[in-house]
Amino acid sequence: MSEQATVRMEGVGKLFHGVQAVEGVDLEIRRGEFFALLGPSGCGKTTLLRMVAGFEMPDRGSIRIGGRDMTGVPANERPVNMVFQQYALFPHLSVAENVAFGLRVRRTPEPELRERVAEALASVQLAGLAGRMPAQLSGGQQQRVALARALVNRPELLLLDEPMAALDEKLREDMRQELKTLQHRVGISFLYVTHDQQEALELADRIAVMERGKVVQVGAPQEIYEVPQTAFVADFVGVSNLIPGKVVERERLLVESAPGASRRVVLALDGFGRVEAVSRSAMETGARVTLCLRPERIHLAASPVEDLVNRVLGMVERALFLGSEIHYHIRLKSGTLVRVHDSYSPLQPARREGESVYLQWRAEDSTVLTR
Amino acid sequence: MLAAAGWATLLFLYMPILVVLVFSFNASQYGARWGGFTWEWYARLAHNQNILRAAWNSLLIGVVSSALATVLGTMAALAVERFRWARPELWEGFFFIPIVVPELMMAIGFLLLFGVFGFPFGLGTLLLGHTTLNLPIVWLIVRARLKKLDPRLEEAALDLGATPWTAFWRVTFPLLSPAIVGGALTAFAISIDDFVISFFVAGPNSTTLPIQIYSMLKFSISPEVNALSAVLFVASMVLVGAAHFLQDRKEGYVH
Repeated sequence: MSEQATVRMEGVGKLFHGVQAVEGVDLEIRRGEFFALLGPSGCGKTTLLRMVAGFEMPDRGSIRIGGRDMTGVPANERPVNMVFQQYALFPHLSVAENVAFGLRVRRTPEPELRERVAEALASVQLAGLAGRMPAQLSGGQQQRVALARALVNRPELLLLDEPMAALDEKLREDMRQELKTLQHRVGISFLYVTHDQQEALELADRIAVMERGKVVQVGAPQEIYEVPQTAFVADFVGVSNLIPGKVVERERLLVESAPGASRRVVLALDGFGRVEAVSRSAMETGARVTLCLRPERIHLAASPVEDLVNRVLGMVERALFLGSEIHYHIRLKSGTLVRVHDSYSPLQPARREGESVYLQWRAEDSTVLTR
Repeated sequence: MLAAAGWATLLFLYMPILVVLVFSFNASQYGARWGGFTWEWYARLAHNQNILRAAWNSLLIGVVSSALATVLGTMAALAVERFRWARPELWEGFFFIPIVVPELMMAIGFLLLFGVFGFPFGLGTLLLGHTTLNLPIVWLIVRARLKKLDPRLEEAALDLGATPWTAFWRVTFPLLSPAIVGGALTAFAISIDDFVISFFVAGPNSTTLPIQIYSMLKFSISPEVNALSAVLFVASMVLVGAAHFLQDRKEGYVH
């Protein structure tokens, strides 16, 4: 067991009413890491979190925290603390007593307890509200109390179960920044469960994307976004054009500058025709694949641009103005709909609906998915 | 029109109670004639040895049976919630049926049961009867509160290092306490007022207040009975009022 890992899960599985809620999960959370479990509701991310907390026991596999096997260790003896969805603050206790709860049950001496509670409240900017009751606090303040209540115990790992779900959009953005700052300051590993890909991309050092009980991809946010390994990940994280097709020509040229052994392949895509792309894995000619093409990677122009190898003509069907960006729905001659995101600038007029445009991109701008 | 109907209904509901209250202060001993205001009947109550003994019995049975019912009813409510037994509505049904079963049937059942086992009729049988009567009521009140309690609160306590025992006493119990106290007070009020079961299972030396009133009525409607009923009424109202107050207060705690 390396000293760098706070949590190590090996082959973790859990059956719920005959349904495989979590299956064969291998994950490692490094010391001081902000780790996000991302997936749609029902993908098993909350069950996995609850198994780390000790509220559920895995049927298979093992979870080690700080090098110690947690099999059979009850929740109250684990070196982790949780920030619950809706926070689960004790309604009959003041803010200070909520925060003091963990220290009291561990019989911390009174002077030390007071000092640590004050320190924890100060760290979440709630020093003035120690005497309030939870019902008198706003949603954002309740979340801070929940954070202080967990962090005051100095856990090895902080678990967060969709902590932003109860907050409105504006507050969520502020709290994201604050959470990131707080995590850097305390240096504790965070395991953050969310269904919001934006949140995961912005906050996490690494993300595990889950689908139907399994971890389908683990990686840094950029890696997950730029090199999704399955169509599900490409679709769930960010917006993608997922175009089915097959390989017609392979390894025409080795790109030496790209990391790994990248090969240039030629694909025949349904509704697009021949397209050049880059593949990281060896592919057979004739293999069915899906091309993931991010909307912001497509360049729109009235006339062809020389160094963009892929080119297809389409017609603007709809233009949605979103302030800093314009989102286009572009219909190809074949009838296929393509989404394109372009940055907006008043200097460059937007494409009008009904206008004909060239959609162009480099081979490196797309990802070839085999699953 | 509707308002008038409302007032008429209220009047209809409270008329009998008002009559008893008013006549308990009637100086005239006989009939429905008003003979002026007096405290005499209340004063006589305080010197009637039979009534005082019955009052003591009622108090004793009320306190002990409601205490027993509260402990057992609360434990049963917690058990159904905690162990997430399949089909909780079935349990709800089982605990609810005794409340709607004709009390007379329960009373006859007790009579037969105690007879079969040769149980001597007296305070013991009264206690058992009243505890059985009160238990489902406490169960219902505590369970209603428990269902509204966020199960994550106890998980949060465990997560913060509390043992299940500590989590219960520091989190669940304080949040349930208004319902537990409210259930106990309601049980006590029901016990104090109970006639049917008491009448069947009481022994010669374990007369309770309602039975005492009934036996006094066999001779004549004396103003003393009115006074005694009034005392019982006020005591019940205070208890039920307190129970409601406790259940409503801190309602804000529940998510």
